[in-house]
Amino acid sequence: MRPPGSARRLLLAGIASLLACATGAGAATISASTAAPAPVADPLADPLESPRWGDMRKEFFDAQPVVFDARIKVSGPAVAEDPLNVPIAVDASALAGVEEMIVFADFNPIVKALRFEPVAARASLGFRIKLQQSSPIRVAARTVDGVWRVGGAWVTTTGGGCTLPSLGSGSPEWQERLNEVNGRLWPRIGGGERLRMRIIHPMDTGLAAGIPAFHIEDLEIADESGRVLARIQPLEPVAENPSFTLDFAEVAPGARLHVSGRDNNGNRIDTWVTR
Amino acid sequence: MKPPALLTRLLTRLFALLLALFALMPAAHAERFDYRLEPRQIADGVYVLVGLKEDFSFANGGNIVNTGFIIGAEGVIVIDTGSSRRYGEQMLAAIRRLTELPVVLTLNTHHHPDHFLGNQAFPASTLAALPETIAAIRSEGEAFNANMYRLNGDWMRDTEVVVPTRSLSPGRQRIGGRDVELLALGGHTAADLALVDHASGTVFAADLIFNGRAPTTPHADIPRWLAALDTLERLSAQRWVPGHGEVASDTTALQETRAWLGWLADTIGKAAEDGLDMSEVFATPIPPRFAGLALVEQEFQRSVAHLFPAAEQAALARSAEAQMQPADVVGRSFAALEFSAVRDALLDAIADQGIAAPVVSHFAEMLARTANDLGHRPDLYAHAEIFNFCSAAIAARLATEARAHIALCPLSIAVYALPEAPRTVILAYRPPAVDSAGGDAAKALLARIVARAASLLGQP
Repeated sequence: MRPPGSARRLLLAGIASLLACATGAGAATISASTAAPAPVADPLADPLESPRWGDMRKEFFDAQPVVFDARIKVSGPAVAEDPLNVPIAVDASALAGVEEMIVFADFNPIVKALRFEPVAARASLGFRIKLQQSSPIRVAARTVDGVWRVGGAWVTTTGGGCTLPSLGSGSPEWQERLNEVNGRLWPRIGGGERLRMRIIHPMDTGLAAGIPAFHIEDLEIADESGRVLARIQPLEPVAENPSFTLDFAEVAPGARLHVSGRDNNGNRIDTWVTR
Repeated sequence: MKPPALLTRLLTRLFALLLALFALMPAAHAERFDYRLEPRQIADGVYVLVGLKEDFSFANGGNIVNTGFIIGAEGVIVIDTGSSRRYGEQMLAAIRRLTELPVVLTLNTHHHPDHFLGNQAFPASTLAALPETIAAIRSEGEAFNANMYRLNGDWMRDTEVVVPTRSLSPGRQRIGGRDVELLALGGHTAADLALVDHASGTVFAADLIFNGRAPTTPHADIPRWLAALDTLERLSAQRWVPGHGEVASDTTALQETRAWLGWLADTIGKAAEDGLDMSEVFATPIPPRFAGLALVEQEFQRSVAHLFPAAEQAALARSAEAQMQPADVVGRSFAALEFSAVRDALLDAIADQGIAAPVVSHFAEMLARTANDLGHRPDLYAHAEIFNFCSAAIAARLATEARAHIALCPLSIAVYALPEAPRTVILAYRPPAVDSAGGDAAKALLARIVARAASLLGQP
């Protein structure tokens, strides 16, 4: 016989599961809709409604002018299949005169992921990051007028991306191939060219027990004559064996591009990518 | 007694309301955590429990998988145990409603959690899988289980990983009084076990076949998977039980799985070769012919995450390798041929020049052997051999010119194929670096041998 009150519990369980489903669906909708945030009345109200925005603002912009801007796009998967390799593309090319871009994730234990100076490149960058838990991924672009303009999107993940040891730190391969660059150039439809490159590096965050932070911190792309075309400063949250996608509106003179840089242990990166 | 009409109407409405309420509460039966497993008999003694074409959820508790069992004359063979302890227990109860015979073999077809997390319910000594599956359950099982609690909630209560102890070898055998054949395949995961029940002509294809649902690829090796489908297709069978989706009475589901995997691999490979960023690949439109597959959008996104990084790496490495090509190597590549065909043609071409049989270095096998000690990948080549040989006439000319020319002998031609394109076979050699009549004769001989091999292969 069913004990008294069990019917009521059944109903409550049903409602609870309905709520659970609704919450899940709600999260999905947030992720989807924030891919293109609607213009907001108050340009200082966070369209991603993250409780961390106040801290973010203080940490990265302090007294500098900052506004949300729907023209700045962050695209990533609504749900990250692999929290160690979350593909992100940021694009501020709708703005003129972008001098600097920073990428950060509010809820990552190391918040800032990278800094990018487009110089002669399009103000857009493709890369992958590690994500510890679901978080807004934001890009802030500083234009010549000194104003930071911010765009972002939520990415949901099962987590664990930052506190796991890199696969590389457990394999002998990276020691021999450290800082090896595989790069390739593609002509772009409508002119210019695209550089894609992948660098062998464990990109250890320092958050896995017993493994110190070890990451690339400077990358510079230059043409054959040494003219700098773009700079990237990756930080710990950038995924292991980082890959980058950069677009250039014009094809630089010469037959090849120079990729150089170093990691935080002083190991150098120095490669030519030939057309 | 006939109830008053008003009361009947009220009761009917109340009943309809209740029905509607229950329809709105997909997890209402979650209180009892009843998977409502109903074994369906598809042949004499052969039963299947068909799961939903969904992803894991609090509502379905992980009942998204097909499991099955075969009742033989002496015992029961269980094929996969489902997503949780509860699933396993309810599956065993369903078996017990049909037979008292003991469970003699409980298979885990591969190491994905919906196929082995019901193991607790079955006698531990009957749990069996392919060796790679056992190793993978041991290493990844706990993480899968934790994730399944997160995805399915309380349906998972008390579920623990039980690693099978019996390691299976493939082959035809009598189990439980039934004539069955175990096929050790792979491609969906490192090891995928298929079972053929010969009496009924039933193939349990595990997750090598999906029917009406997009395949999942977190551990997929697509070329190997496609080869496994070829093997399955050659079986003469009455029906195929896929890992997910309806039982099929012909190879339609197999073809559907093959078509999807082929499109997926081509699309991802082409995207990498075209220089797309991973974020851009997510936006690839899915052809309308796949619109009928459940979860097609979600699985495509997941598959890009699983498969694109390797494709991208190959596309970028190819460019780097192309730039490293030594300038003085002469190469000739042959498309759509088996390695052995090209190798044999090279042997014949050398013999046709009246030269003694070459000494062969087994280059690929050497590299496979040294991989562990030297820390390089074991499959740098799918096949690679180097043929060393000497022509008496040319040796005499070279040595007459200068006795130091001994260092130019023997001549050699390498024949190889890469794992990413095993049916593109390449002949390559380095012409002797000497400017003399003897050197020219050696270069001409090498060119003649390659040309002769090409003509023997019908690709002059």
